[in-house]
Amino acid sequence: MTLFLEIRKQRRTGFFPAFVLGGAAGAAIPVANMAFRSRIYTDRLTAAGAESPLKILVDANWQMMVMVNLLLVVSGACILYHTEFADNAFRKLCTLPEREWKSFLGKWLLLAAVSFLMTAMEGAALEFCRGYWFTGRAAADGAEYMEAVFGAGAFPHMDLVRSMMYGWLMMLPAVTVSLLISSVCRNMWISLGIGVVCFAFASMAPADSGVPALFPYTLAFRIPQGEAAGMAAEMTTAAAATAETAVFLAAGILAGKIRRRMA
Amino acid sequence: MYAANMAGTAGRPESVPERAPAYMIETRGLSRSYGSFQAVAGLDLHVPKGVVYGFLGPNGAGKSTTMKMLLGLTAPSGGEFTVDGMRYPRDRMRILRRVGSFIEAPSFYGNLTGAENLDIIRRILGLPRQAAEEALEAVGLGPYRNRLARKYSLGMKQRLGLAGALIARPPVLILDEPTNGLDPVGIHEIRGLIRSLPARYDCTVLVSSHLLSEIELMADMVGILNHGRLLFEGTMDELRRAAMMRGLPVDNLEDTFLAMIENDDASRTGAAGSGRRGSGSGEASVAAKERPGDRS
Repeated sequence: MTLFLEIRKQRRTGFFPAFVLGGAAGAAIPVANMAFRSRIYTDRLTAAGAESPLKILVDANWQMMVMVNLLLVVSGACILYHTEFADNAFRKLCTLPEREWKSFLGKWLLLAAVSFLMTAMEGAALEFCRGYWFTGRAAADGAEYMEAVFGAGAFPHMDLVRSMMYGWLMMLPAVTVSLLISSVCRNMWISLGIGVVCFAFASMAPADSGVPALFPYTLAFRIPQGEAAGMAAEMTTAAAATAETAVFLAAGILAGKIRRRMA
Repeated sequence: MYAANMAGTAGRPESVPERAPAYMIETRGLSRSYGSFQAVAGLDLHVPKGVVYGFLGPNGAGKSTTMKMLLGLTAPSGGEFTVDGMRYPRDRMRILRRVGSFIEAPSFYGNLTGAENLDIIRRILGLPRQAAEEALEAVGLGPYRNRLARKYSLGMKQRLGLAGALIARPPVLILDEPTNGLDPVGIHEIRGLIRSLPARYDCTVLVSSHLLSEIELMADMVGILNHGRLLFEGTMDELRRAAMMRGLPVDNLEDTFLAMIENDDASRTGAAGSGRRGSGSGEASVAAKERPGDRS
């Protein structure tokens, strides 16, 4: 019900078109990359120490796709709360018998859901690229490529799904923090500014080691390995992302209660 | 009836059952301060069931702060209050379920139409679909239900806010200056609507304004607030009598109100009796909270 209300509140805000277009833009990145530079990547299949097509595609495109995703997440969080604050609708909400944390949770669910939609669109694009360029090349040059790289029956859909789920999970801390910031700052430009600064910092910070790697926005830049070799590291970062998400969700719920106490 | 109620105010026994409260809204020593500024100071308000209670005071008197406290939007610094026998903060959610409100400026989603705005409220309150339509019709917004709220005029936004307060037909309505921004025709309509609410919906209305002339036309009782303190509480007739006893002008209630406020201001600054209007009696004012019960 809360999620349904949040969806209704976003009518005519441009929230849903923004995420659909953003997802399409993110999905267009690997397609465009492959369209213009396919040879560079497909040749890596035959190089020594060959990688899977998925890993090649993810390595080549993930950073750029995450940048689009994070920008959308920050903007989306701003839109969600700007809708509440712009014409004081939030104050009316506070006079209704509805717990504030439900509204926060509803918005989080919505933002997480549209982020998932974006990731799914991008995953579909990666799958398209793999099928169009890599399988096509394998078909042209001989099916032995595929067998050599993956073994028999080599269509790693599950790897793709797992990679995309991992990418989405890594994005959730950024989703939650962005929403928390937007719920605290009534002025949308402040929350947007903070989000962009965090996002810029994350794009420069090392994503694979040290404390900066645990920064919520940096986690989103972790590249899904898509291979069993990286499983252990992925599990660790997935646990960290889940813990951060839970902590920031609790903070968001608490922020509503503190705001009421301090009003 | 009100006089009788108020006569018993101070000593209302604690054993009065919650289901039959003597007052729909009752505050005891309600206070709110912001740093050293006392917005509301020890307010004892008594709003009987089924009346339109006019909450009157100049700008900055503490009317909106009081109303916000009654709705849990602002935490009291001290004191306590009950609404329909329910105590804050213990029963905050139950209180909000029983109260319809309109506080200060209209609150709405500008990206939604009037009907969609009310639909959000309707769903939160778990009301039937026609509740939103009826509320829109009641405030005269029926023909504009599908227009975006951000494109409403200020008066229409006020009406939308009122519709949001009325939608559940709550037993208690708290309306903060609901006629602000309305044209004379709109003021007349909304005033008539508020006046008719107790009879139509069996509810109690607490309505604030800084215009006595307006309150006079719709309220059964009036509470006058200045600098966070209640100067008077009672019916219009009791206000006239009190003013007459104090030597304040009574020909026009607006003048009575102004004199009362000026006297209170003067008593605060130590300038009482310095030739200001309405201070002819030489008495400080009716400043100390005065209720008919106290005089009897």
